[in-house]
Amino acid sequence: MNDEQYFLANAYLDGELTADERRIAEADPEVMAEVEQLRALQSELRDVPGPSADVRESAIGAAMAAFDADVSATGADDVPVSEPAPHAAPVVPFRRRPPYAKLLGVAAAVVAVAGLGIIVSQAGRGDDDSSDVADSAEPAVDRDGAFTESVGDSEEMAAELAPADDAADDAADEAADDAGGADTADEVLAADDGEVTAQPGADDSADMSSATADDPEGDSAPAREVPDDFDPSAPISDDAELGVYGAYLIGLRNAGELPPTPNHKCVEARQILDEATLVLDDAVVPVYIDVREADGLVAALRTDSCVEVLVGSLSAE
Amino acid sequence: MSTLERSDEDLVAAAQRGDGAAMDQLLRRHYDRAHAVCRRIAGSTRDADDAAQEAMIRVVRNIDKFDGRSAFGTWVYRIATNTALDELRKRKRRPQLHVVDDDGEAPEQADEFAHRHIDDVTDRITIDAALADLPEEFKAAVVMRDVGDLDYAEIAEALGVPVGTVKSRIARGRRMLVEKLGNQDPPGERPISDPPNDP
Repeated sequence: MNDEQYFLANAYLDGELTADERRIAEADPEVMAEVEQLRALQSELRDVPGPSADVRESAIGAAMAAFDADVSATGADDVPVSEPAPHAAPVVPFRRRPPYAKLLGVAAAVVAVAGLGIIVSQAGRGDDDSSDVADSAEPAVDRDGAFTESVGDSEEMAAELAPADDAADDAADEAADDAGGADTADEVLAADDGEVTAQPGADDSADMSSATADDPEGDSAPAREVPDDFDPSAPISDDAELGVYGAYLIGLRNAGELPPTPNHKCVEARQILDEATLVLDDAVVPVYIDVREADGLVAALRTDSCVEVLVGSLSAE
Repeated sequence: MSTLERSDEDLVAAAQRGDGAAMDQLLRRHYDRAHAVCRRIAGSTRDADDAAQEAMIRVVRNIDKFDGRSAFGTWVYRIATNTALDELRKRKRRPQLHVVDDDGEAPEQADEFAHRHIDDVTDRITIDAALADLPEEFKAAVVMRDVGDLDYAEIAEALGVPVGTVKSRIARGRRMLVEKLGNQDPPGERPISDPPNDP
């Protein structure tokens, strides 16, 4: 059988032939034998063990819980409903919700208390220790200076990135709107499974939780927030998502839940914490995630070349 | 007219207005096939359960974005495909844990059906194993076609590739599966070129 016959057999099986082409296929015994072979394979593929009733009800219950929450959040529950929802199944929380949110809250509280303790202990030293305080304050001033500089860099970067962010958001919104019929790989990647709305900046602000400890001084940019439904397996599509990914990794690290560090040869990298995927030039490529906390940045490096291809900010501004 | 008799289009419109019963009906109508798509892509029942649940949640959260340009089922199975692929990638990134029995020999099977063999030939690999060896793009195309029942144009739209590419991926993917399952001539004897322009 030649290739033409083979493709004819496949298209015949799939009902993708015109009437004339079907006649040609049916007149060729080799093609029809191949069709039967492929039909047997198709039958095997379709013979899938079905889900259990419990699993089905749990999944639908979880989805309906999300639906009800969304409806409540948007006030759409004022809309008359034709009949009561029949989802009497127990509502099961989405079981893959990452556990870091609560842990991050605890971590933030611990840092805040520790910071307060240092301030109180220094204030209680009295005048006799003023020179010591001054001595010890010097490096603190240095740290503050460095920190201020870092914040300044972040602000500059945020200002530079702002138009790009807007453009990316617009593109994401457009892609999300096209979720029912995307035309390009980009649109599919962004929109086909709703990942766009699952990413930061979506309507899930009520579910947001802080990824890092609050700044006790209150003078630095707020830390990037990680939505509860953040999906780390989704390809990163822009710098904002990369920033969220970095915040997510910091949360995992603080909670002691980081996966093993990927093996890499990127000698210039500061702290590669994970490997992820990134949408780059219409393709999804593997990247290392290099978290540069001192700079307030997170970078994506190509795994094959260690070349930095995207930088995001760990702060929300 | 009862909810059971309503078309997907009607139910979608109602769900987009906040009708929970309509949303529930849509999910029930499409869950099993979405699960089947996830099952074939993810390769294990447990991962399929997770992926199908997440797919349903994504459907719900994006129902207002669905614009009816494709059939609702197509949209759902596309979401299921992508969610299952995500699950697969996530699983590859997770450290693999192997549970051994008292003899220290038998690793835990990813799925209780993993031992099922086609025909009665015990030395043939399972369809799950054959699918697992398939490159992602071939697997997605074959599963969308043979399990999700999407046509070439719908798959092309979902994957963002031309119809000719879909045609090629399905044909090549099936060929690889057949060869891996041992039902056909060994690999190499029947190389496949790109598909002719059009059947």
